[in-house]
Amino acid sequence: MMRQPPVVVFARLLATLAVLIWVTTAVSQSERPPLTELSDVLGSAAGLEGYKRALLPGEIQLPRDHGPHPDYQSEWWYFTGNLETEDDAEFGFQLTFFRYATRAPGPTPANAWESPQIYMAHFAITDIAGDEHRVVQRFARPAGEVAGARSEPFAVWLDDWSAESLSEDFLPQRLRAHDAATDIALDLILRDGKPAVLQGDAGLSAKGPDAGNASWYYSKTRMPADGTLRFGAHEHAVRGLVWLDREWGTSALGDYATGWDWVGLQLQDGRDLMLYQLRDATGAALPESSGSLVDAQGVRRALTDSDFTMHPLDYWTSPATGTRWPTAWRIDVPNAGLELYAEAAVADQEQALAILYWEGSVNVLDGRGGERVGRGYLEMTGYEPDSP
Amino acid sequence: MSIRRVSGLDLLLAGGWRFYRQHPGQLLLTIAGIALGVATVVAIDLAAHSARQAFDATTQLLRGQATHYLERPGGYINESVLGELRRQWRLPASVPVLERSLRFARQPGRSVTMLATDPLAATRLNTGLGNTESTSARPTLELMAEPGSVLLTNALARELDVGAGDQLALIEPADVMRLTVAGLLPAEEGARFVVADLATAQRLFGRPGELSRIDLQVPTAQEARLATAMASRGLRLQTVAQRLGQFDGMTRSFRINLQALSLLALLVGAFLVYSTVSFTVVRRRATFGLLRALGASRPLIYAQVVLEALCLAAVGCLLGVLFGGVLGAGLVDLVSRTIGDLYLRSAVDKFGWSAFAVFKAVGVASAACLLAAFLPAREASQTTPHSGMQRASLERRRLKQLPLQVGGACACGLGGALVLANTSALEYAFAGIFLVLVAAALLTPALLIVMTQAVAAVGDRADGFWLAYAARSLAASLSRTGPSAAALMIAVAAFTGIGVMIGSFRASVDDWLNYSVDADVLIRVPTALNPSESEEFWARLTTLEGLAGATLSRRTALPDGDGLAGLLAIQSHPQAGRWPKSETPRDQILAQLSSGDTIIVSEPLAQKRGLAVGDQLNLLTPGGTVAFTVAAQFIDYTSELGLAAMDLSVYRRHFADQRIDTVSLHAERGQSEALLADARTALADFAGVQVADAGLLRGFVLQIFDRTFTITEVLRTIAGLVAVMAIFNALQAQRLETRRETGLLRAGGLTARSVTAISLLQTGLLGLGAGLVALPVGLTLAWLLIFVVNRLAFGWSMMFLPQPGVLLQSLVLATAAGIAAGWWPARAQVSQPPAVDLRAA
Repeated sequence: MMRQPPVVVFARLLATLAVLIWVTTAVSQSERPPLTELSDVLGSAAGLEGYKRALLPGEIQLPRDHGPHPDYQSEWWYFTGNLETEDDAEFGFQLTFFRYATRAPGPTPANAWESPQIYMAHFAITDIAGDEHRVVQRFARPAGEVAGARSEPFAVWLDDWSAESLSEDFLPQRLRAHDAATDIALDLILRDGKPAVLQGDAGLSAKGPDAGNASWYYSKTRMPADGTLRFGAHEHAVRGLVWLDREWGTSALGDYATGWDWVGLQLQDGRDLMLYQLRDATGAALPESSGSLVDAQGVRRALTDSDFTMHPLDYWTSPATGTRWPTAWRIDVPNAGLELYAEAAVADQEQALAILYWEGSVNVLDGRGGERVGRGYLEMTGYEPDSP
Repeated sequence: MSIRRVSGLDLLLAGGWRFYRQHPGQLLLTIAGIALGVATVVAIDLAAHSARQAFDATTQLLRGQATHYLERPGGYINESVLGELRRQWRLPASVPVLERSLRFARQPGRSVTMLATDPLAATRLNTGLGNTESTSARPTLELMAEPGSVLLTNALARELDVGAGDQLALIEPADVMRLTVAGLLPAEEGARFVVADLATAQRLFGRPGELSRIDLQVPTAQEARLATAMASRGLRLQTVAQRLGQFDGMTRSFRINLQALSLLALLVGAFLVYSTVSFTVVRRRATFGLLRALGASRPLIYAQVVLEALCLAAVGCLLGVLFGGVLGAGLVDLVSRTIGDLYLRSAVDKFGWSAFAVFKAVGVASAACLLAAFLPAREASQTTPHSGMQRASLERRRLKQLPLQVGGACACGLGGALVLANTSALEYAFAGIFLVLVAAALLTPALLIVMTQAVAAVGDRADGFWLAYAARSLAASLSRTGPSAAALMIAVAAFTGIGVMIGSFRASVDDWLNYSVDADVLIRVPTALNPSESEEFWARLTTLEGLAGATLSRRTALPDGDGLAGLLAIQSHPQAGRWPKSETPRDQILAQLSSGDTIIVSEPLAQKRGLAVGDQLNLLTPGGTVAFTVAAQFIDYTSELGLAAMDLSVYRRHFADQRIDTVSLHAERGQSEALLADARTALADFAGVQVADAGLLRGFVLQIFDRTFTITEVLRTIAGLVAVMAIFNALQAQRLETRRETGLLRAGGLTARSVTAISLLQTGLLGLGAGLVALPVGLTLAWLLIFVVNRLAFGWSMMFLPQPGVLLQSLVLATAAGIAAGWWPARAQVSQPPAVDLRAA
């Protein structure tokens, strides 16, 4: 999911760190430290010197690139999925691993604590029938093998949260996470559904008009999964579909985009649709907005900003932050014959972890008849809390 | 108006009160004696108690909600364990900690604890780390982003007079990097420590990949399994409560030593009580005789004397507790510094009261007073109405008691010696020492009589009438000034004994330093020089100017079951070095070490494991358990837990560890400064390599030593004070005893000046006599402290070196105190017409 330009992820990471510290200082959570100060603290916000940049298309090689790319500033492994039990209870989940370098990597330091790499992970489960969403975040540096990633056999982990290939092949793969405080846990086996698709231009996904302001981006849009899920006291046997977005790059933050809306939808007819629109300060979609449609056989068709429209239909205002989130969308892809509604399965899937965002399970309805034609995930960022 | 009914006891007490009101000096001395004894015990106890309480407050900040911690006894944990705990054991709330002490250039005489952690992980235990005073999150983030940035506690920042943004230079560890103050931590008042990111601390101390401990939250269900799994790898899982217990265990010897020394002060105090109470009884024997004639029963008189003693004790205790509090608050700093120096545990200089400490001191003091009052009370109650009026009867009885005292002394001495010869427990050893001291005290009056008679004989021979007179007159009164003289003797003996012990210990440490740190330049090598760096490093070493030879060493934790001790692998330079110091010749030791699976063990290790030369010690090596033969014992003061040493080649063969910690360079004659300068330049660009002047290091060790013994010096000074008080007491008694005599002398035509001279001669003799008795007793005390107490407490052996200076000091103290204290009563004596003295008594 190319939802966010790496810089914005950086901003999110910084802010997350800030809030992490903030929470411990027992200062009201609504106050957030100014971002400029934080980027200043961590050093290299402006300086992209010494990092690799994503410049020319066609460099992605799998399985090598399932592993980490420490020469780039930021990177993530973004798993989302919709699951259901035998008796049709539905759940959504998100398990994301971020890697971020706080300064340009030099020779590997003798001491792992001096490594510039920081890992962050977000883990969320939505109990749709129970109308409840729980989320938790963790941070770690790679010292002591506490966090890290490797390519063959593939693994990425932070503590006991991990995605790990069960053999030399990328799939099947085991996805595990567990958190005692929120009492949620996930243990899934992912299998191969469709081949990986390279997003953007042969994997090179532009984030702005300047060269190098781009990232490498590929997706595994449909991985059948089964396993167990725990939400509070109950453990469930579950099965469903999982979507993986992989992205890494080094980008500078422009005044360009203020936020974005992203969807990854798995349709019952076997097609998978990914769309994102970058918004400017007025809320208008920017020309870098794009997407792709992968058919049942795994063949990808690129979509540009002129190929689709996304319009909010309904809003939910968070009682916690006062933010007004568009939780229902009209999505049209005329030349693919798609007229869809995407509706939040649970309105409150707000994630006030650090930077404020909304990431959650959606139901996909047919725009003409209204019947459900698929499930998916929606992510929205850059919506400001209403000032009191 | 009714007539108030007065009980016999009231009457007696009123009599007692009047007596003390007429002799305020006596009263003051007694109360001061008790107060000083109590104060010392209370102060030492409170200081130790506060240090213990504060110990935990320091690490509390980082520990947060941790329930357990994991450590490698005597060593460091490889941080890969952290990944295992988090991943395999699914214990996300596992927080790595590296704790070491450092010294700032701004405050070279004092070490500060650095607590290093991962700020990202510390929040998982809800620690106070985020609680920086600054209103932004910046300082905590900076710990990770900026190498060398640290947080200081408020108290420490005030002490060093620094604020956020200031830079701090270090002198220990040597200047690897400067530290920058990123912010302040509002920790508990008085807490002084530095918080840093692990990256900073591991580089600073040259310990990449190593941790002191891991704080963690372990669910009960997992506890036993985790403990077993970790134990098989030499790691120990302890509860937070056990950590405090461990602190107690570790500092136990230190605290027992302090307490025993403070009890010694109380013992002297008790002698003062005894001498005062018996003196007042003697003074009032006529009154008691009169009261008995009037019908007062024996138990009544007995009760009065005991009650009086208790009143004295109560007032003395009250003052003692108050003064002890003041003194204790002053000592907390010393105690916590010493604990920091000796045990590398951080402690806070925060003073707190402990009801138990106060209760204990008051209890011991009251018991001592009661015991001290027992004999005089018996004597008073046995006064018959008739004999009470007669002086001679008392003299006779006192003389009769002499053999009894000598017998008691022999019994006590024998008992003490038996206890000392057979005990292996520190508490019993101190009990033995007390018995020996009591024996010496009981023997003192008899010895003084013998001495004064010898002086009198000398006076007769040399035709020195006045000398003979002064000595005989003193001997006659000694039956009653005896207790005070004994108190003086004990105080001077304590003064001497502690002084000799400290002096001997210091000389031993100095001597040992010259053997063990005999190089000119010390180089500390970070454990992770990469191969190419390593090659370059050795190449540069060999080209250093003025280099005669080098000794290489590697120090690790002894990898056995509870691995409490250190293991030193060393490649000693055969010509240049002098290490180790042992009874076995050095050449022989070095030859044996390089010949096979042979080790040498430090004395504490030999004692703790019961190892003799020729015994085998099993060590767990990566290749399995190997039996090493003990070739010799060597002297080492670096660890009371013990140290084993082997040849570097043997170590490398068995432990598959090629690293070196320390390189000691020996310079050609006269080249040490050039070598130091050259080493500094040549090795400047190796990160983490520290070059230190070995001479400076030796100075540091002695500085720490001196600080460690500051408390002991304080106790010694108190003993000296008590000695002065005791002699005042003794001389008061002596003057009153001889009033009639001096009255006679003056009536017979002696001038006031002559009487004063005789009086001073007598008090000087008394002081000198007590001092002379105190010398052998003090030397015995020192010998026992060195060869019994220190062996038991720390396993250290040291030389017994009575320093003439200390002995002379004691004699001068005793004599000068005698003369000075005699001056005042002598003046009082001649200020009255002789008739008053003649009529008195």
